Amino acid sequence: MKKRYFYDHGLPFSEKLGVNLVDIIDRIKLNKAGLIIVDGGVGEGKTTLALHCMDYVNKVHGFDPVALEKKFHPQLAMGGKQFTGFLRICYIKKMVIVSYDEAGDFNRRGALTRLNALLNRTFETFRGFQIIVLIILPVFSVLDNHLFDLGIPRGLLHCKGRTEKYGNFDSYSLAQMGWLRYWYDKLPKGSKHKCYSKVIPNFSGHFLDLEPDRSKRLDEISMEGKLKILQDSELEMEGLLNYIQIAKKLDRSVVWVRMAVGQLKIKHTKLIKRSKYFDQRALNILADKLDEIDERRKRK
Amino acid sequence: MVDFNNDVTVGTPAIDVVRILWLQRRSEVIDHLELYTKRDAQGVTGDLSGVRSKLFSLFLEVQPCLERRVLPEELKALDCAEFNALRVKFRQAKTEEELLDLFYLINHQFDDLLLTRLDTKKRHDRTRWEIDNKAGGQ
Repeated sequence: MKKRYFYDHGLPFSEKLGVNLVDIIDRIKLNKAGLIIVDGGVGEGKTTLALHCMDYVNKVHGFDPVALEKKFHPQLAMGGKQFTGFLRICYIKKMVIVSYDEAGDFNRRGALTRLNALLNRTFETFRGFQIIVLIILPVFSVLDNHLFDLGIPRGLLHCKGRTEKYGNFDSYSLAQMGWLRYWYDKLPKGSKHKCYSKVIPNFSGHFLDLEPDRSKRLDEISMEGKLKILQDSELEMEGLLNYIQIAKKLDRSVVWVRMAVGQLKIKHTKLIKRSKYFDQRALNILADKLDEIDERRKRK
Repeated sequence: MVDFNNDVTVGTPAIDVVRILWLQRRSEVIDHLELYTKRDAQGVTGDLSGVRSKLFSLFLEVQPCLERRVLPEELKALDCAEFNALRVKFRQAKTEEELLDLFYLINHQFDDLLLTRLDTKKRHDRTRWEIDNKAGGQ
């Protein structure tokens, strides 16, 4: 049987979701914050559903579907670093929706605090941007209570039980998310995910897969982000540092570090994408040089 | 049922006893209306005497409350210039239409007093986040 990419009503997801997205569009026109959370386990189709939603919002506003070029995908931010930049680009290009995919961000220490600070700042400062933010997370409860108190997240799409032909989602309003959070806090460790079965969703729906071409391009973008994280953690495990990291550790400028490395003829341990990485020994040599400079200054 | 020979009733606050009595009287009127409708449907000439007497009893039960609460527009709608006229109307109403109008008047008062109102929560479209959030005050 031929694989379907759209339902009979012309959308790749349940019609009810389309109605809710239009409601959020109307909301942001009033300069109010509009954050939609997409959460769910690994491989449940969070990014696919988010992309469907973004395509729909773009279509409503007369834009093309979300660009998925490897070097240009301003509506699909992979990680916090890209997010703020992309938000600015979307504002300039008058785009109405941008997504933030955690893309393994949460494996880093302090990532949650950074994410919450970023979201708080985004919604307090850039509310006037009139942009819907779609945030893709493994579990929605990692978000700050403060965001919920301010009523910023308007809806949650919880992806679950994806099959070969389609994905499923449950949808919760902010009011229902309050109950989800209540149960999440109340349930013991290891059973937290059962909070979803304790609260009746506002509505449930399905979504179809992306067309093969777009799906492939999305995979490439998402893999790129994940490979970068893998590479970073590999370097972290080996204890390798680049110029910027060494400069931070020694409390000196990057220019100073570059010059010192040149003068002392320190050899780099690895060269990745034209970036030099040094081991702990190089840091020690540079630290000794700093001590020498300090002593010389004292003697003068 | 309120039983004045029962110690439990004697020990119950008067307001609760009266509340039950009012509902009981209202229920009896509805029972008699049901009987009348049933007979009417069977082709038997309707007898409204039961409804009339039960409705008047209900009126006697709630009369001071009605006197305070009935609005001039409601009196006007029942062709009554003042409350005394309404009192007479309750005593003398004969037709089904007249009796039902009077019963509706009391029924609405009960609803207003939250005696018979259960739907205190506003109904809304739960499948729309924004409407649900708004209903939840967010």
